[in-house]
Amino acid sequence: MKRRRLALLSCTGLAAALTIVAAFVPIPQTPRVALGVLIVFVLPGFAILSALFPGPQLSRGERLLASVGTSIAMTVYVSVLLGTTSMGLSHESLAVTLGATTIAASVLASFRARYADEA
Amino acid sequence: MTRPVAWPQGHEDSQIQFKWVSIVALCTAVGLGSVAIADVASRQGADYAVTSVFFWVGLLLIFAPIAFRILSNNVHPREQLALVVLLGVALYVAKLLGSPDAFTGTDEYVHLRNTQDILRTQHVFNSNPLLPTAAFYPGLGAATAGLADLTGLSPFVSGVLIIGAGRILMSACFFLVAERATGSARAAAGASLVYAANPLFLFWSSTFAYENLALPLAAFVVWWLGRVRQEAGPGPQIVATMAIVAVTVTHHVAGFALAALLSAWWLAEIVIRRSGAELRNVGFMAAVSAAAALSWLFFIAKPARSYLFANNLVPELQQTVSVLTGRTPPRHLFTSGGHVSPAWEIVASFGAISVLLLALPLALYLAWTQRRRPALAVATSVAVIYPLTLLPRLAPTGVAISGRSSEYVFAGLGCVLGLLTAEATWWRTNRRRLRPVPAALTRWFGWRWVAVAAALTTFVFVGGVTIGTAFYERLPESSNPQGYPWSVQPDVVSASQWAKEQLGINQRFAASWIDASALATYGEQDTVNENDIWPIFFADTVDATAVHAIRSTGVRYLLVDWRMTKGVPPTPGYYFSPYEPHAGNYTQAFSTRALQKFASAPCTRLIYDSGSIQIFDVTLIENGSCVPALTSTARNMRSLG
Repeated sequence: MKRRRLALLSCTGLAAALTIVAAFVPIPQTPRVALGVLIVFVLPGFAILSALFPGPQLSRGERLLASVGTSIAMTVYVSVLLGTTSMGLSHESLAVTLGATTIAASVLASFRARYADEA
Repeated sequence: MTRPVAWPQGHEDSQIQFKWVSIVALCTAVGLGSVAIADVASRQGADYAVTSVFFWVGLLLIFAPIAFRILSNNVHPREQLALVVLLGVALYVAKLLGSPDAFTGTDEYVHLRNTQDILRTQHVFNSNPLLPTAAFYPGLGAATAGLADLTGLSPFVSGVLIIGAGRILMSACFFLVAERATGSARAAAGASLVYAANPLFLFWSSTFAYENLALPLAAFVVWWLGRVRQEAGPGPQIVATMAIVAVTVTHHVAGFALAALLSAWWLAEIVIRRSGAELRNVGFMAAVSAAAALSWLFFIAKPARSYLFANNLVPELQQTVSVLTGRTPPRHLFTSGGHVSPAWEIVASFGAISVLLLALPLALYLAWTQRRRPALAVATSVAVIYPLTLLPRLAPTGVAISGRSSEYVFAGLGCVLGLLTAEATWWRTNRRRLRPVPAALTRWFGWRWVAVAAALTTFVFVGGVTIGTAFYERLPESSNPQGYPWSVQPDVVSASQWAKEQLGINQRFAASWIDASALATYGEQDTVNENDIWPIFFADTVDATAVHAIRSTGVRYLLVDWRMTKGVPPTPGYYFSPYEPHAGNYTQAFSTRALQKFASAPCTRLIYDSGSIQIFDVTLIENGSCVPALTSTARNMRSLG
């Protein structure tokens, strides 16, 4: 169970990193759409929830639903927040913000999952 | 105290029946096909009597099989949840089939403009000429712009994905919240059906509008808090706060409704349970929600106050009171712009309302027997408002407040009526004596209770659709409409794109309210509030009133749509503004002479002429360098002045 969670978190972090790269390097449309949809609708929420709830508190279905809800919520307020800054809301700023948050949360979640394992 | 069920748990004696799921999914697919045929035929100008058959058959094929299956006995809760989500998505697709390549709803243009502005400027809080308040709640526009920018998809496709994700979130979270409130997956299934039967669910709740993202996020907050409030640590609060902030920056009423709901939940917990960490968590999040909504309204979205209260809520309530006291005649129901709804639809509408009103007392009785459940107590307090929300429908402008409230009121109404569907269908399995349902009646019906419950919810759904949207607006308008159209026409889109290319963006335009939607989005022009510019078009000559309106509003271009002279305006019953003469009471089309004046006036210049659409340059009048010969009345007025 935990091994699968760690694998999922690794994939999440990797996808987030690719999203950041894709914001600065031209890539084909299909992977760009796939990465964009994942970073807006699933990945940040999954990483944050894994960091906050490393144990079995949530079932798979609940985790998926909460990941979608949290990701959309995060996209909304991060987009609005970026839109009020001088940096502005662009694909670069959004990809970096959402991607970096996802990577950071994935790393934290991995540590917490391992710590929970040892404990 | 027993801990409520967290996620649909399988009954020991039930499992997901993939055979039934496949059959129901097939019916849904066939239903969508039928709706698609209706849409295509309607676009090609087929008669409504024919297209409506395909439309209604399609909707029944979507709704009725799902209703029957999820209300049946021994259905696994996860199957019920999956079918509830399927219903939500299928009805969303049914709406999309009507406009599969562009936004066409009135509110959709408002938020498309928000999205375009954010994409262009990379900043929020740009001025929105279609609805200034919308610019101060940029959550939907910013998220859509972000997705469009990240993926390279169009704003339309990005918006469809965002609202679609919201629809899935709403359907799933509402089912789970209802399950927690009622303690029964079957009651939650009934609640979800009743909620899907609310008059706005099929069309309005599927549009690209800020409320349709904020409400799913609010439902997510409620589900999330109910699910994890017993968990230790800051995790539950962090996630809930993120979602509450997202609701706050996305929609005003949803933000306040969420705060009110959480406060009511907290109060119910105080009265019923009186203590515990759960109580503190709900109370804290209620305070966060209320503080966020109020702070945003008073410090950021200042224009929203007058929009919500002075422009909408107060006048509509005043008019409702005026109708109830006999000072204002009631609105003619089911008539609009010379159209009268088919007789069976009127019967279905009143029938659906009657079913809900008749079922409500029984359902309230059931809710009373379970009054120790705080969430159900909150749902009950919302459900009892339902009869009152019908009253504003009688007022000429009250339909907005009555219709829009259904998205909120049906949440409580669904939970309470869901109890009734569960009790009725639950009878057969458990053989327990039920209080409100006469035993003789249940024996007579036997297993047919399921069919009766499914048929009644389907009937309420049909009635809800007939109430929620004028019959002629349920299917796409013909590409060559007779009379005055109710939707943006392709030639107006072409004119708007021409204006963008030839005149540049952000030019001040005056146009009818339908055409203004295209100008503000496809043309990215700054259309002027229709309440201020209607005198320009109504005068028979370019007189002092028209000149004053042009100068005071700074209008530089006029878009003239000659189709106004072909027919009276459909819903909402005016060409430009509710303040124009004959608004809501048109019996004749717009005066041809009033539109002819622009071609003959000396200070105007025709710069675009294609079919029914003309664009006039009135810059010379606006900047005062040319003064049209005024009529004698106007000259007299000026000399007196």
